[in-house]
Amino acid sequence: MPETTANANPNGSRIRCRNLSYAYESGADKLPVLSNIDLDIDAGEFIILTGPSGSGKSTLVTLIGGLRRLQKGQLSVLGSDLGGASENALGMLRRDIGFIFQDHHLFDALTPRETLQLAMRLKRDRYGKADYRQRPEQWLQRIGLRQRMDALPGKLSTGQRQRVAVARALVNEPSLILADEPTASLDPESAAITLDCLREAVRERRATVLMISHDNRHFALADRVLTLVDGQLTQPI
Amino acid sequence: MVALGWRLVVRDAWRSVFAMAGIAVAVLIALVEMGFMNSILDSQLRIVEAARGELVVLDQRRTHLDKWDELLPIRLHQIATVPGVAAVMPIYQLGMNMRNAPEAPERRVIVLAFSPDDPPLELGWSKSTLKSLRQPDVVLFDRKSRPIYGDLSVGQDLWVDGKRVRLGGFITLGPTIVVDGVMVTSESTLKSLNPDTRPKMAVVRVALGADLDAVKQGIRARVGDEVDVFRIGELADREITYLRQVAPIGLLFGAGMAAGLFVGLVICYQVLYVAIRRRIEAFATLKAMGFGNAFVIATVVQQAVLYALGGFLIGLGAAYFVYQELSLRTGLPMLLTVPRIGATAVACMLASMLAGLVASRQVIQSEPADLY
Repeated sequence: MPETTANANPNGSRIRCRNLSYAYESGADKLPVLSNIDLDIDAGEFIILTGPSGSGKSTLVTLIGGLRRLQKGQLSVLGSDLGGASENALGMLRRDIGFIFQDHHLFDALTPRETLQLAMRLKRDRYGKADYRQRPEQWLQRIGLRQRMDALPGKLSTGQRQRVAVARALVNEPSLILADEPTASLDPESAAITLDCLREAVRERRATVLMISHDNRHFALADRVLTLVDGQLTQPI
Repeated sequence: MVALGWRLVVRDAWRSVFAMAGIAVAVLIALVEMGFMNSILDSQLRIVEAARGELVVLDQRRTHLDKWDELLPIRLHQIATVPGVAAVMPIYQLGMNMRNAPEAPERRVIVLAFSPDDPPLELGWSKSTLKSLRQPDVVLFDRKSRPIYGDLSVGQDLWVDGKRVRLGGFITLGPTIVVDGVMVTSESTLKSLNPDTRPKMAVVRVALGADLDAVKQGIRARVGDEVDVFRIGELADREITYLRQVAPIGLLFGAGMAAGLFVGLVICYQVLYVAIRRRIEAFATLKAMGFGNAFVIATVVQQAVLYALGGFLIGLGAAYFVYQELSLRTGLPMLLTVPRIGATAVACMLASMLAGLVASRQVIQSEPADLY
């Protein structure tokens, strides 16, 4: 198990939080979810975030992903200060992040190939016409679905759909990947392929992975394991 | 490149067929309502469009063509002396009762009368038919009149207000919403049927090279405000304005058209709403990935436009057959002209795009953060 701290290498961090707090508002009441989080995550780190339900894991990941607005504290992601960032700026930041959710959320009308081609439009400046043909095929080959690349999601198994969602998140080679229990409902083969893809992104491109997981079998894969309890980061496992 | 809206339409075939069918019904309703309105307008204008001259003169009290205020014959003589006027051709219009046999039931018919030597109207007759009109007690009958008058043949006797006349041939004009049939006769025959009748309008032929506006001014100067003088187009415009605004045919059928388009809008919205609701997480994922609201709105509107396009084409095809049938049964001119098709297509597209914009609100309001 690698040794880690919550605050490593403050210079050049891909994710940097200082005194990050967040509370959900319900009428006049405020329900604190995160309290004074300090955190630095570097390029090439594979971080697992764990903790009991309701501890604030998803809230922290959505804040880092620019899916939620900051309330208190400082947060810098991929060099962008998210304090006071406009909707447009958050949208642009999210184009550099690969999101993997528990469910695949694929469009039922798009084949795996088309799903990846759609995701590639976010970085259209990078790609030529041939890329839209070759790149999805390479990724679908990587996740073992090249033979099914023109099948609609309705014809794929749950695990195959989730693998497509993983490829969708990775096709643009983002420097930050945020994953929420991506293997929770997968068969062993799909789970292994998913984790391989994430490890490969870290190893080959120095991507940063922040993955929520309750499965302690995954902890060995991580450079660090962070635990959130009652909205606060505790000592790493 | 992936056109998401197109894929969502093509690969959700049953939902798309339902949406298009709903829009097609709405388009059909709108086109039929429009067809009825325009058939009334078009049929009313037939007599104006048949004029063989440049100007039409009416009594100033005759605010629309179904109001039959008479012209004083002296005014027509005065108009004939205006410089630039080549000919003034009076037209008599009279409602009379006709039967095709002594014991047959009487039917109301509109009788048009004028001089057969220089007819003011072009009513699709042959030279010999027109020539027959010079004989006393000869009438021509509109072959497009409604079938209530029975099967008529050239040479048979007819009874008009009790007096026997002979059918000398046929003309082509067509009924209106209130006129079932039209009969044409000479001025002298009409006088023998009704000696007191006076002209209801006159067609003025202007001399070659004469300035139309100058002739109009000259007529006004000669006869004062007692008559109105129109170019053919001006009279048609006035009649359309009257029918649309005062009659109020425009309001009645316009409401029908609007109701049709509203039905289409609601159906399109409902289908889109359900389709988006079913995929709301996929749309939210797009937003999480960094696709902006503009992209998702464009996707939904693209779907709406495709539904509208499919629905419009189906509705147009159905309307073509309905128009044929209605025209056959009513005798009214149901015309699917390019401008009318274009106007309906634009209205259909706009309504569907509006439905798409409204339906896309749920995507805009979706929170990608809720995906975690």
